[in-house]
Amino acid sequence: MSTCLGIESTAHTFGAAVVSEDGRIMSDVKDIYVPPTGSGIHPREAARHHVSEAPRVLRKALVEAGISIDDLSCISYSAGPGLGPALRVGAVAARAISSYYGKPLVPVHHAIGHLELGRLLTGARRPVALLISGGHTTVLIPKRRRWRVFGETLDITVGQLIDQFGRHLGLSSPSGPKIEGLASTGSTLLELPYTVRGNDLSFSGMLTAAKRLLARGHRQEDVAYSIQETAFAMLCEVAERALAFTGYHELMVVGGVAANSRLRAMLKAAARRQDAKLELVPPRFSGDCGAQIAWPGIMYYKGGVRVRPVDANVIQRWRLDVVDVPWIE
Amino acid sequence: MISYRELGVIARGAEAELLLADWMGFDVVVKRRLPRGYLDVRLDARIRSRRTIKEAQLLHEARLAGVPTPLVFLLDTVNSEIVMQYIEGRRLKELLDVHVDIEVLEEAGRLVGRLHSADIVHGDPTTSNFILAGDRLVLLDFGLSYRSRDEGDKAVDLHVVKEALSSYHHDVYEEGFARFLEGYVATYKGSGIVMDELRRMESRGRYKQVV
Ligand SMILES: Nc1ncnc2c1ncn2[C@@H]1O[C@H](COP(=O)(O)OP(=O)(O)O)[C@@H](O)[C@H]1O
Ligand SMILES: [Mg+2]
Repeated sequence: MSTCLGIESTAHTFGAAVVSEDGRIMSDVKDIYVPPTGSGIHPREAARHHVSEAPRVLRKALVEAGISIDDLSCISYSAGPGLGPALRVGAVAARAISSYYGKPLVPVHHAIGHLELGRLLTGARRPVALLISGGHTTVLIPKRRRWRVFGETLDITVGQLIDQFGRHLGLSSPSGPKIEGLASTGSTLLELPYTVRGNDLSFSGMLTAAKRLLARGHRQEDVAYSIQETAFAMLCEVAERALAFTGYHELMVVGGVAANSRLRAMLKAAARRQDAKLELVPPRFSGDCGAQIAWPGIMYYKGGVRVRPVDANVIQRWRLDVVDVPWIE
Repeated sequence: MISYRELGVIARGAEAELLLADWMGFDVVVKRRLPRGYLDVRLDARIRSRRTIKEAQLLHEARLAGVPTPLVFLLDTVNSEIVMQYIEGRRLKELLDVHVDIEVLEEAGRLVGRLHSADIVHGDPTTSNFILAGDRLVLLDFGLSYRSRDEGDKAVDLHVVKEALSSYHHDVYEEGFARFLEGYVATYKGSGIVMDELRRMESRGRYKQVV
């Protein structure tokens, strides 16, 4: 049975996991960098965090999987997109292990990791996928060796909307849970731009308008409530549009923003409205983690994909719809 | 209260239910925007009534601009309903599914070109919103439409077409989109600037980089 050690270090999270070719997650360990209150992620600080935590996280992933490096079939790493300094930590670790132990090295696109781990864990076969993480707000369908972009944000992501609003309020990032808390005590719906274009979305106007509402003296709770209601309604609408168009019967949602319970409830109802079933990744695996890199890693490995350690670079900007995913029919 | 006799559901769209009905002896389509029960009720009401009004207006204005659209017969803003002409035919989406005739995309490009010439942005010119009725291509679903002179807004329309072709209809994408643009360029004088804007949009920020 082949096994893969996957290393994730795209942004806040340093993660390592061992996954077997039959899709068993033998271990999944992570440590998350938390920036100081009121500030966003600083790439170099994140990298520093990853460097100091990497040895412990990697060791723990191997111990929990009950496997030694010698017995692994391959090493995979998150090659992008993401923050350069953070990505390089994972790549360097993967490169070192690979050359020292003579293990094949496999690069993985971070977002493909979210999507493919999502399919593994939910059992969804041919879903409309909604990827909502810090870096993505994208609607996709799997078709002919690719995840094809059906719609996406035209400017900032919904994760950035929430984080930047949180930072404006002086909350530490990621501020999703705190905004959710605030929103749950709000009740007045304030008008914010609702911008859907086909299957595309725009959130930057909403951020500006929300800040203006605060400046005019509206309660934080009400503005947070209105942002959530409006932004989530837009997400649900594009999900419904993609389901109606394709006629698919599964709506798979992946990425950290899916942790929001209001959003989950709305998506569930939206899916039902289109005769589709909502497939959610268990919260433990919806955020960034090693398993999302290890699982595609082993699939690519079995398909013969390798990079030489000297060529194992990172790509900060990398569109996911150019990535070949040979096992998608 | 609108008086028509419902004959059955013909489609469930993304936001609306489409009914075939008889109105004074005509076959008509009733587009009824159903509540999305999972939304804040105030938001839901606002979206549905605004879109219904916009759609009725712009179906009419597009027709004046020379773009074939269903005739609007009645508008009920309370129930978010539009009663319009029934267009019998097949949707572009299904036509492309069976690879029929890619030429029809050139006509689609012409319709969008005419629309943009009149400073109307469709908002959702995807392949499920064109019906080929005989030899006439008809454009539907103006719920996301608005008036704008802005090239960036018009470029988003092209982007929506491109996305639909490159994802769902990827088999015909390259030739199909080229055909679409041929029709577009031939009918719209400002097309050059819009296409530049599309390229700019796709080469910057989101389309180039994904953090
Ligand atoms: N006037 C019409 N004549 C015939 N079919 C129609 C008409 N209007 C809509 N339809 C059918 O209903 C579907 C959904 O209608 P549409 O206006 O696009 O609603 P939605 O906004 O929900 O997508 C269309 O794709 C088309 O198949
Ligand atoms: Mg439609």
